[in-house]
This record gives sequence, structure tokens and C-alpha cells, in this order.
Amino acid sequence: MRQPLDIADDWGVVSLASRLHAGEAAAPATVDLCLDRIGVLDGELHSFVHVAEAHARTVARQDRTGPLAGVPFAAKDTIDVAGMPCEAGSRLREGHVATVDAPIVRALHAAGAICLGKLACWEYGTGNGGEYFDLKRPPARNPWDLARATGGSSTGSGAAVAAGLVPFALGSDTTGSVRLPAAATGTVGMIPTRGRLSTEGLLPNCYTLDVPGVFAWTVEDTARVLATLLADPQLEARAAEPVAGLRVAVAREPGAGMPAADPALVEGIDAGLDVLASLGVELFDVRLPVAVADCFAATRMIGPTESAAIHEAELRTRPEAMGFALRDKLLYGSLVRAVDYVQAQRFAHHVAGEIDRLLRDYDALVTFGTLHLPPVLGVEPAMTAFTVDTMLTPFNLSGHPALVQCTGFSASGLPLHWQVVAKRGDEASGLRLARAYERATPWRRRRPPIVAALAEMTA
Amino acid sequence: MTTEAALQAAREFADRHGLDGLAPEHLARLAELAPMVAAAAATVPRLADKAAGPAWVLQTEITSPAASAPERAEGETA
Repeated sequence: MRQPLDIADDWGVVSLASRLHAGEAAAPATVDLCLDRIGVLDGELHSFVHVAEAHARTVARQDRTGPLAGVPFAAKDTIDVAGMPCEAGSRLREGHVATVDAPIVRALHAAGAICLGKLACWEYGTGNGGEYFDLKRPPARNPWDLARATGGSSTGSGAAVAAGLVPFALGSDTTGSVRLPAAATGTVGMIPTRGRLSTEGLLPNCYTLDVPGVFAWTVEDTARVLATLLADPQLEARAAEPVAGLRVAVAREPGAGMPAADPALVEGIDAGLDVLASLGVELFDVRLPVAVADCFAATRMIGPTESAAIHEAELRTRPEAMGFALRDKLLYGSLVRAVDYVQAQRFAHHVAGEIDRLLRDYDALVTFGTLHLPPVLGVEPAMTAFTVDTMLTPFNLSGHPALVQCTGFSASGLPLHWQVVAKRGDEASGLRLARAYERATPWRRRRPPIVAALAEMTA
Repeated sequence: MTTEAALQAAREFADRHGLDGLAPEHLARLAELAPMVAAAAATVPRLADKAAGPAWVLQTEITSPAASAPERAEGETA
């Protein structure tokens, strides 16, 4: 007999939707299960900033249809869900309640999904990688080790999915804010091609780089949610095709100005490539056509500057109400010359073309995500290094679809990961490669210790 | 270390750009950041081809005129 709060093998989006559809599970009981788990675990995790208990229970009793009928989810607190707070982790937005669903939330509701609440994030969904413990809520904790950071800025999204509080979650990514938390929490975090999903209803961070993204436990689940959001019914089937014969480029070298990846991550990527080879994937070592450090430099001109423009009024009138990270970024952005911003945007266009050209000969590209294991919360320089020493920013500049997935665990039990990038508009190929890898490895059968402890506690 | 000259430059920058709500510690940080921003800007690659411009962002979502109208100061007319 299943224990009441245990994470079962069929807890994923696809299997849960299937059981709900078949009448083997009921939406009210599923919502209750999530709420119970949140009640027991989130006092330590701090992944939720708002739990819409009454709303979720009411909605769960209504008839729902669609590919996500009855499946619970939660959204980063920068994404509008009608009737729920949207404070973006900031004193500046205390009491702000959204009146209209963001289009991506509307699409999930139309597909039958049930929103359980809002998830923690860095203030305004941005930051510099550091943790200053100066916001109104405590930072989310990593379920794999509560002393460690979740990665940001979608801090609660990764933590909540890894801990099984919800089967999937929404986040957003400007220079890694979906893929960093996915790397830190051992979840799948994916951003589609920039422009394919509306950013309406998301508190803007950077107009030209912001992309909404999805967190789930498995690639299969990610494909289901993305197929819904993109209104692409063929995506799941294409993501499930065999991978033998796929041509995959592998770029392990971040280039000058970046440190080497942690040894555990190197071992993870090496072992993962062996798995892909055993599946018949053709692997080709390549060098990225652009230096990652140059891409990071460009994002440092674009991101803070656009943020400073977006939040100019707040910096002028209420800088003292901001946490250090947000204020620092806005001050930084205020100092960027227009000339340098334009140079960075010109370079971004160049990067997009170069990566398009690289991918012309391949079905997908594998790289490191971040170059480090998740750091202890608040301890520098590891905190900032986790966020800035990455191979993520080229694909923010270029707008290509990219995902991060778990590739095993370090000796200390922390998740390893890699990044899979696909051609513009071809999310399916990235998902296909990642799904085949996932099915050939045992990593999805291991949940964080806090979840195992919960199962033992309720046994 | 931030010099008095750098602090004064930060104060003048803030004054020029309407950042008049900044506390002294914020101005000190502005002074610290200024050379860091300049150094970071210098590392952004420059494209030799003058015709290589940014990728223009085209918003195709249809929004209501009210939602897309620019904010105007009181008394300002279009």
C-alpha cells in the first residue's frame, strides 16, 4: 500500500495525467497530496511564497479536460496568475495581485492543469548570483542539501519540482534562470526558442533576452508541458523517436576567460556521452564558434541596462526598499553607455548567426551548463561563480532552445548535469536526445534525501 | 578604495540622471561600480563590419492602444 506522502513512480506529469484520465486517481486527492507535502516539507525548503489552497481545492472539484487535466503546477512569482499575489520577491510589490493570467498560464489552465500557487525567486527575477539574506522572505533551499543554494533566479521552481511538491513548474530565463536551478536541483529545465512563447504577464527583466521556461522531473514530462504551451501536438511524438544515427556536437571547452569545469561534472559528461554512443548517437567534438566569456560580457551590458530601464522609476524613488542584488544590478545598468549596449546587441546578433551555422551540421549540441556544483548558500566566491562561470549565455544571446538535465550525482550526492541545445524552432530534437539518455540511465529513480526522509517518516 | 573624486563624480552622475533618491551608501557603490562597468564594457567584442547591426526585436502581439501608449507626465501632450 502506498504511503500517503510518498513520491511514487507515477508522480510525473504524463503518468499522473494518464491515471487521472483513466479514473485511477482523482484531482482533489492529488491536490491534497501536494498540499500535504508542501505543508510538511516547505517549512525547510521555502520554495513557495503563496499556496493557493482554497483555490486549488475548489478547481480540483470541477470537471477538467485536456492533456494536463487535474495535474498540479506552480509558477515563479514573476508570472501573473489571476487572483494570486505577484510580488516577485520584492518589498516594492507588496500586495500586488494579478488580475489576468499570463498567456502561458492561461494555456495551462485551458489544458486542465491546476495552479497551486507561486514560487520563490530572486528579487524581480534577477540578481548577481550572490545571496544577501536581505529580502522579506528567506531564500529557497536545495532539497539535495538544505545548506546549499538552488541556483537562481527561479529558485523555488527547481526546489519544488525536485522535492515532488508539484509535478511541474514555470520559470523564466534571461541568462540562466531556468537552467541554473535545474542544474542545482537535478530537475529538467528547458527554455524554448526565444519568441515562441509569449512573455506577456511576466514581470520583465530584459526585453530582448527573457524567455519563459518549464521545470519538470523528466524529459517526457517537460515535452508534455511544452507541447501544451507551444500548441504543438506533434512535439511529444517527435521527442520520443529513436536517437540512433543522430549527429550530436559536443563542446566541452568554454574557452579563454572561463575556469575548467568541476571534475565531477567532467566525469558526468564523459559517462553521459558513453551512454549516447551506446544508443547509436554519432558524437563530434567541436569548439563553440564564440567565446563564452565574450557572451557573458555582452549579457553584462544588455541585462543590467534593460533592467535599469524597466525599473528606472523604482531606482529613482525607492532604492532603499530593494535588496542589494537588485539595486546593484540597476546601479550597474545605469552606468552602461548606450554605445556599449549597442555593441553588445550587435555581438548578440553575430552569436546567433554563428550558432545557427554550427548547428546546421548537427541535430543537437551538448555542453556543460554551469561549470560548478551547487554552492553552499551565501558563501562566496562559490555562489557567484555558480551563476557566472557557465556555458549558458551564448544561447541566451542566440535565442536557441536549450535544456539542462541530470547526468548523475557527485560523491557527496549533489546532482550533475549537462546542457542540450537544438536548432531554432526544433525543441523536439533536444528533447529526443535528452529523453533517450534519461531512459537509459537510472537517475530519475533517485529523489533528494529530504523526500526519502518524508517517506520513512510517514511509513 | 573609492576616492573622494570618484564619489563626487558619482554624485554628479546621479544628479544629472535624476537618481536623487540614492542614499550615501548607494552613491558609494555607484562610485565603486563605475570603473567595473567600464572595464566590462571594454571586453565586449567589437564587430569590424559596420553593417552588422543588432537583431531588431519585432513584437507581433496585438495589444490595446491603451496598454501600449507611452506614459506621459501630467500636462504633457502627444
